[in-house]
Amino acid sequence: MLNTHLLSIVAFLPVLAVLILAIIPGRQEKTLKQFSIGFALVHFLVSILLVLRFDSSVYKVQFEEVVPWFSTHFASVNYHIGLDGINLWIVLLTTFLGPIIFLSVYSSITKKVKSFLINMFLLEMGILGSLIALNTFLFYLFWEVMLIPMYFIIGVWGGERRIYAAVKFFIYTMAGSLLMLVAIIYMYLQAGTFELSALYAHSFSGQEQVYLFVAFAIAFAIKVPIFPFHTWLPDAHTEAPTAGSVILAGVLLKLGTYGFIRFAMPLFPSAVKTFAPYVIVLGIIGIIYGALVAMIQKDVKKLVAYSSVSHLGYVMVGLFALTIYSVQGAMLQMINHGISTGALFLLVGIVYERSHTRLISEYGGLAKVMPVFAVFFMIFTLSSIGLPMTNGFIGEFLILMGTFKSAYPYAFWYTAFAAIGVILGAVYMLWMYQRVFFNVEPSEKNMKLKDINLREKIYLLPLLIMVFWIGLAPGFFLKKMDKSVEHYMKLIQHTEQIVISEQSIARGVQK
Amino acid sequence: MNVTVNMTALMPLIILFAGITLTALMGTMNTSVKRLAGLVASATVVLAFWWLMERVLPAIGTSALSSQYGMITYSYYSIFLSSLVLVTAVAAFALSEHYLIAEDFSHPEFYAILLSSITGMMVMLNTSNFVNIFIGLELLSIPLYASVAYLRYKPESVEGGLKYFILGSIASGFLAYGIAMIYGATGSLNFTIIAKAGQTDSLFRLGLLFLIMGLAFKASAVPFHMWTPDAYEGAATPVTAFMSIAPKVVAIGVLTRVLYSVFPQMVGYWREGILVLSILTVVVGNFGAIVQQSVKRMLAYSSISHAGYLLMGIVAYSVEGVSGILFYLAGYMLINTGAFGVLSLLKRGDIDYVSYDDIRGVGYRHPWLGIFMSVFMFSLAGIPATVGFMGKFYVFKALIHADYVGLALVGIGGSLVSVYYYLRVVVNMYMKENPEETSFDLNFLSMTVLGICSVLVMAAGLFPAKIADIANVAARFMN
Repeated sequence: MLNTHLLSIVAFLPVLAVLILAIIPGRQEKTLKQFSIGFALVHFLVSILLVLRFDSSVYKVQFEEVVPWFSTHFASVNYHIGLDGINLWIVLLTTFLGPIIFLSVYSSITKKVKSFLINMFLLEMGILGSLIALNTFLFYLFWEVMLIPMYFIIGVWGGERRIYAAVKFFIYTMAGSLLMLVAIIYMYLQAGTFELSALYAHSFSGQEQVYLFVAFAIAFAIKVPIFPFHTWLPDAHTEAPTAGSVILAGVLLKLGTYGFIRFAMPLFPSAVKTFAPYVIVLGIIGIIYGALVAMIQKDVKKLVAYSSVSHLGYVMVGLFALTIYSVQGAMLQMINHGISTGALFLLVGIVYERSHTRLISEYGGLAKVMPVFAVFFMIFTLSSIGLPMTNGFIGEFLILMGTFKSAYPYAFWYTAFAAIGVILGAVYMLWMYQRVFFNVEPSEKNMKLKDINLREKIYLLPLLIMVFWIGLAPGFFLKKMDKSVEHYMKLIQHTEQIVISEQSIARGVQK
Repeated sequence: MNVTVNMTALMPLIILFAGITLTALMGTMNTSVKRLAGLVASATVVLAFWWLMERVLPAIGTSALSSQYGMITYSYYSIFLSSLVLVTAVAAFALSEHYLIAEDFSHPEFYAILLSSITGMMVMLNTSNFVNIFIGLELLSIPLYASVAYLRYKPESVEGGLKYFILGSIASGFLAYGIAMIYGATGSLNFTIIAKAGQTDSLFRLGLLFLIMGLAFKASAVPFHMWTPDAYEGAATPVTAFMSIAPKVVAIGVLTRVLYSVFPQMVGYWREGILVLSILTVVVGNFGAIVQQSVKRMLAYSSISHAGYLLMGIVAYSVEGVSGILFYLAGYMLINTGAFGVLSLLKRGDIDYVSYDDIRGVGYRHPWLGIFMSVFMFSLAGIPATVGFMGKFYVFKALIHADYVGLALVGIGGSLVSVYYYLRVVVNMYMKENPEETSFDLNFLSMTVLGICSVLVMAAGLFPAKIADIANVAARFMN
């Protein structure tokens, strides 16, 4: 019984937390926060069972659950969820970040604590739901529902321009997803089902694929975000509270890239072939543009936000290079980015709580007053740059290698330009690090800053371990996704051949 | 000629007439009796509803239940719509109770007026004869003009009522003229006979055009929407809740039925017209709502835009489209009752005007009210897990099925624009601080109504099968 419902339990445990939180009176802020930390920890431990029981020798979906949800004359929808190598680690990343985020919230959120915690758990549920949904309707439902708590988190607990950022976030994402909705309805009318597995098998005509792919791709591109759809991200990140930024960078953005590998690419393989070069070029523009803009930022948080644009450019390049290496690298890079960027946002949050500023010019010489903090910051900076031995290296290396080996005529140039991003990444991160931690003697105000405390160490440590674990022994993580990635590659390429052969038959007939 | 009279069919109307008489008479009695008027009116409506469900519904077999040669005809379709009207009426009565007492202007006549309007709606929905369409429309409209102007000591109420009255009379004129032309062309007023005649000449066409115009006015479709914001704003808020739903249910319901079953041979002709109307309505409604400063006016424009989505459902011209419309109307009823219900509680003394600034911080001072309003706003914006999304989903699906992908995209663009102004309500409730700590007088009855509405909005959004199935049956048995 546990095995059949385990995934549902993991996905909907946050709802239980919401119900319990609703009962606890709002004045007992400590109890609320402690409960959330404990609950999130339990949630994470339960989700570890998923890894332990995950069978990495097969590609097929595990912990699968199919229950008819509602069936009417208009549409019949199944509650269909499952886990495979594609979403396993992102699900784990979500639950892993849970306790860390709630620990960080302990000091950073002081007003309307109860509502904040409730929104956070709801957000987690929405994210998990959309990650495990194997039904386009179900996916869309969670995808949209997720917006609401995030919108509140930015809008109520955010910074100065929070309302602008929240509304922009909401409308931007909504614009993309409404197009996707049209595509989902169209696919339903053509194939008669929302079930993903049946849709994979259904072959849409070339023209249909183009339109459907564009509709899906725009929705996901906004979420990722791919240049030029990225403008909402810096606003959302800068204005969101630390916990919001962590979950936004950590997992929310991954839903975009995840959407590509799970939906847009295997569903419309021939369109992928048409569009792949363009997406790769946009990805490369994102890498370089993100890095260049990050370089000139005055605000640390904005810098990290733009570094996200750059990093996710790699993921997109990796996915669309369509080699086993690059796709695996991209999958791993999603996790890496969640860990290192998440950690960087936490670190920025820590120093912001103490100094109430995020301007780089206000810092300087912090290594002297906060030595332990400086060490943590250094390690995550290096991980973000992709130094060997850290997680970032593995991801970027696989992506670049895979891209180089890909069958595109300009594969060499793609790799070369993407690699420029690695250098630029080192430039903006290290330059920022230098200006924040060294350069000058700490100002009088900064002399009073306290180094990080035990609680902060506790929540940074797991992230640190992950940096080195993935960096030194990526095999454990890659092995679990091996089979599924292979399967998805086949799905994308196999159907391609069918389409090609159809075309050649058509050509033969014409002759 | 021997006219067959079916008492089962007439009974709901008789019950309603009895209710009108009773509530009107209560106005002459002393205060303790007067106070019961709301209860009597609600009981009347419930009784009519019960009769409809228990007596009329089982009497409908393979064919509709009709009386006096189809002057009164019940089909599954018309019963579905009548139920929506009756349920709205009960909710509106429940909301009025508190509102009118707060306004210190509670008279039993108020309920008599609304009951008359409801009777008109029942007549208009449950008929297959154009004479009754006209009679029903007048019986629906005239009390509604009066009920808008009911708060006679308020200039904006009288202004709204007068505007509604003048423009509404012109629309009625159009409708009557259209019916006359159709009669001239076919020599009959009966739906079935007209449909069989299969006329397409120019007189007939002109009649159809005038008919559409008359009904589009009641549905507040652009360009016949001018009265809507003023009338909605001027009326007492519970009345606004009622008139944003019930007349729209009737107008859209009758329009759909007439177009589909009386003028199917003219589909090529009216489809284009409705298409243009629907695009205009969605665009003007949504962009009009953006610039409003008063929440009530914003909701008035929003109701215009929703009429647009409903008209899009008509364009689909399929059973799917009709059931989409019916489902949408059911959802729309729940949401709009709730949204205007919340507004009716946000009343400071006798000041009715609610601007965005006035609702700042409401989400914290009145947590439940805030949650309810958020549910309604997200639902109007068409966020999944609410009934508003399912309604749009069905209508757009019908459109895409009928190969109107472009029109569906217009609708979707409109609902994207709408997100902005619906969110604005939530933004003000939760994300802005209010310097003055005003709180509002909430009463149990209204809050119960709102609670039921928001639970149903979520429930029907997550488990739409029940309503969708009923809507589908209703759509297949229009006549």
